[in-house]
Amino acid sequence: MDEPRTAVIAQPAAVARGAPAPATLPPRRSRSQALLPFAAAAVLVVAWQVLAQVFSLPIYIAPTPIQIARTLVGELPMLMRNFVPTAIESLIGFLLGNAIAIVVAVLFVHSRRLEAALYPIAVFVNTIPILAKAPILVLIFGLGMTSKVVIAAFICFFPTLANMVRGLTSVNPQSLELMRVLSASRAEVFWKLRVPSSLPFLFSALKIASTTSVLGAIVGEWIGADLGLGALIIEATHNFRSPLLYATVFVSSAWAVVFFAVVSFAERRIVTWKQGEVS
Amino acid sequence: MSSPGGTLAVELENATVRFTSERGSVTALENVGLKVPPGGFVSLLGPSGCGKSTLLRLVADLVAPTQGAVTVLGGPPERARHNRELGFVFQDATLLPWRSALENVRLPLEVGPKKRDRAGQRKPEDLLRLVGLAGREHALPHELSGGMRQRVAIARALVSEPRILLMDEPFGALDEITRDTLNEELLRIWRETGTTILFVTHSIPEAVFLSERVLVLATNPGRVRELVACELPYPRPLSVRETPEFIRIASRLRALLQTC
Repeated sequence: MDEPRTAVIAQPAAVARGAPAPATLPPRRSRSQALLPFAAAAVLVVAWQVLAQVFSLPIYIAPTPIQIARTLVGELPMLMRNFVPTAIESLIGFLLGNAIAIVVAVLFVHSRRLEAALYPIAVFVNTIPILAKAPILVLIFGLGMTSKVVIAAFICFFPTLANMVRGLTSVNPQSLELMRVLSASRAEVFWKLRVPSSLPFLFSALKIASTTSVLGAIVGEWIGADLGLGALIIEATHNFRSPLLYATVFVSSAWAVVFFAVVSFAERRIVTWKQGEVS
Repeated sequence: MSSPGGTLAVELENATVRFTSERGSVTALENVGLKVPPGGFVSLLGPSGCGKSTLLRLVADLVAPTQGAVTVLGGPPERARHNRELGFVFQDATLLPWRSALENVRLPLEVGPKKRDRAGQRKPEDLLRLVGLAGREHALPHELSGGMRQRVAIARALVSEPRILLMDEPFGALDEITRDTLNEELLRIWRETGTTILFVTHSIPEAVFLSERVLVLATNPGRVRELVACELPYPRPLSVRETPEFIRIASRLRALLQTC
């Protein structure tokens, strides 16, 4: 699988020489363009530091980046102690919610009647804001990690269900005719056609879920927890420890970004073909 | 059912196909008769909506006749399909985009009731060589040109050694130069494999160049206008298209199509 990919990446040279660009080639970002968001972030952070100092804002309203960085380093052991449960909750919630969503999507695709009966209920449950769902789930599953895992799983479930149903059914009709000419069984159509066709859709959902599962775990911890980034956010806010609050937010965002990056990396390794190609 | 040369490859007797929907019914084909001997090459030519594709689908068991009978290799089309006697090439190559050229050609060997019976089936590598794609075995479809993708589709249709090859405007979306090359190669493959070919096309020169006989279909409802023989000796080089005989047959087909 590696060789054809390198061949594609090597093509922009041909484009530069004036050869027509293949329609399938994604625009390649140059290195300077990839650094652009980092440069912009650096400018914003410097501006923040300068403005906070010029207007000498009180630390509890707007801590400066330097104060936050100092807290981040100084409180690192405590931040990590709170980070671990949040990471575990979001990770298990991610795996659980997506696994259930995939199984349900497969059942829906095989039984239209089941889909007709249950899909509207799934939509209805999805319309309940997570902030309303979370206390209910904490009441049911208690104050431990289980309730946070369930909340994170819940938040992952619907986008993956919707995308997976669409992915499994959005098979090129002509490919289905081909499989019929080949007298392929239902199972063969499923494994050799529907499952690979659905992978790009699945990964779109997994990328959403990778960040929202962290959100779910944190919201769960707000409702009640001794440990975790969500609990730390509540505690820091109530005690006006703004640098700690900002440092906690930074840690949770960093975790979500890493999570997202890992899923994106897996997507690039697995979905090596061009999406939407009729061929 | 039997002809002097043995069992016919394809036989249609008064085949009628009617599609019924809530808004009424459409007759795609009406009382169509056709006899194709084994190893024959017949093109189906006609205006859009004349049921050319439907005729091919009848033979492939993708559509059932409303009336009349369809016999493939002496039996029902379903049997021919289950026995892997049919290869189908669509207008789009219909390759699975996540499979390499070689893996796409191998697909028919991996699915269906007869997948364990590999004896007598051709090696996918050899077929890719036959269609001129040696060296591109591991390319993914999006890395191949339209013509190359169509070659892969032809190799895939040939892998289970079908006795009948059904081609639904396989070169319709290709540029003329690629089309010429693939026409010549198709004739070579036809002669090498001895497969019966039913070929749907919009192009008069393509039909005359390839086929032994051309079935001209008329529209509304789809029906047989005439069966025209192309009495040009094989092998046919591309230059055959400038001979008076070729031009005569082509003009006759054009005149027929104008009255369809």
